[in-house]
Amino acid sequence: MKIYHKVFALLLVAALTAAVAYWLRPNDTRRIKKRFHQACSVVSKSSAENPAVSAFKMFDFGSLCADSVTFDINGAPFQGSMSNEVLISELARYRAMCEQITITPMDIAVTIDTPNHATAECVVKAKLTSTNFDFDEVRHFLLRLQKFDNSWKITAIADDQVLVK
Amino acid sequence: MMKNDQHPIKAMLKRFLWPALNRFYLLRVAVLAALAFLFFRYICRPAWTNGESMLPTYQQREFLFYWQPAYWFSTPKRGDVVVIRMAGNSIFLLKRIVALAGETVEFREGTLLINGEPSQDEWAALTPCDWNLEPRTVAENSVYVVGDNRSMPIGQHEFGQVELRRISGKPISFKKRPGISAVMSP
Repeated sequence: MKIYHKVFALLLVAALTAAVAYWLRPNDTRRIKKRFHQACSVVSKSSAENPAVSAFKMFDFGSLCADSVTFDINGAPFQGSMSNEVLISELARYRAMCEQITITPMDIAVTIDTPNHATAECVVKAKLTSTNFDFDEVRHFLLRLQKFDNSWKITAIADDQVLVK
Repeated sequence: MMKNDQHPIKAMLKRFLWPALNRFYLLRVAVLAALAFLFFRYICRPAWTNGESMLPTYQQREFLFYWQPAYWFSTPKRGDVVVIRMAGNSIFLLKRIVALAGETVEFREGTLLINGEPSQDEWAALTPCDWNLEPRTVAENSVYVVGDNRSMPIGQHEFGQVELRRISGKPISFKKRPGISAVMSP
């Protein structure tokens, strides 16, 4: 009877562990959320950021994006479809113009369209400080992602207005 | 004298305050926790307001609950304050519906015009306003929402047409607010 109890307890713990592992597994939705948080983090810039850190961050941003990215954010200094390298160079130039950039991820809703394509509705709080302008707004936009070699890459970033004036 | 002989109300109170930690009690706690989670997650969600666009109806950093089944069996009406989903489950917008699908909405020298007529509703002019907005017709399956605080410049105020599918519920109000007739709404 004692052995039966021990085996039962062991099986129960194993089943619970398996359930928790399954529940917390890094599925596509979690991976995409992580990409979104990484992207927000690398685009952000502190006032004391040195050029080496900037270069590393841009390299990181490049690894989050596909070879070709469509950028369509209203009011952004660069628009349209561009290669990964061009996007990085444009973003690096824009970051250099700003004293401080804080992109705070606020919310994300991921839809897996096909096994290799996904769309994420995102909300961020963007705060930009420069000598010429200040910008502090909550922005809602769409990320389109595609899976390459089991890794999700951003293929498009576009405005998605919830409220259309 | 046996313990069970004490006064029934006292016994009940004692059982309530010091319940026996048996499996039935734990089961009751688990069921109650599950029901509370489901209720406050899918039916009546707590939220904080953050922003000034709904002043003076809703104050900055005000705690409220919103009722998600409000539009499960009905459609939003003009004048309703609604909760609008942006993305996910953390950030929502709180706005007032000023026009329904097919109606024309316009601001002229701060006056809200619906189908070319000035709106006479109490909520239509809660703050001084000098906005000008060209007339526009609200699309099918959409409503036009604006915050109550129109004293801020039009460019800084987030408002516009929103699809009905994004309306997530309606805040519950336990006190009288401008433009909300019921003491408790819904």
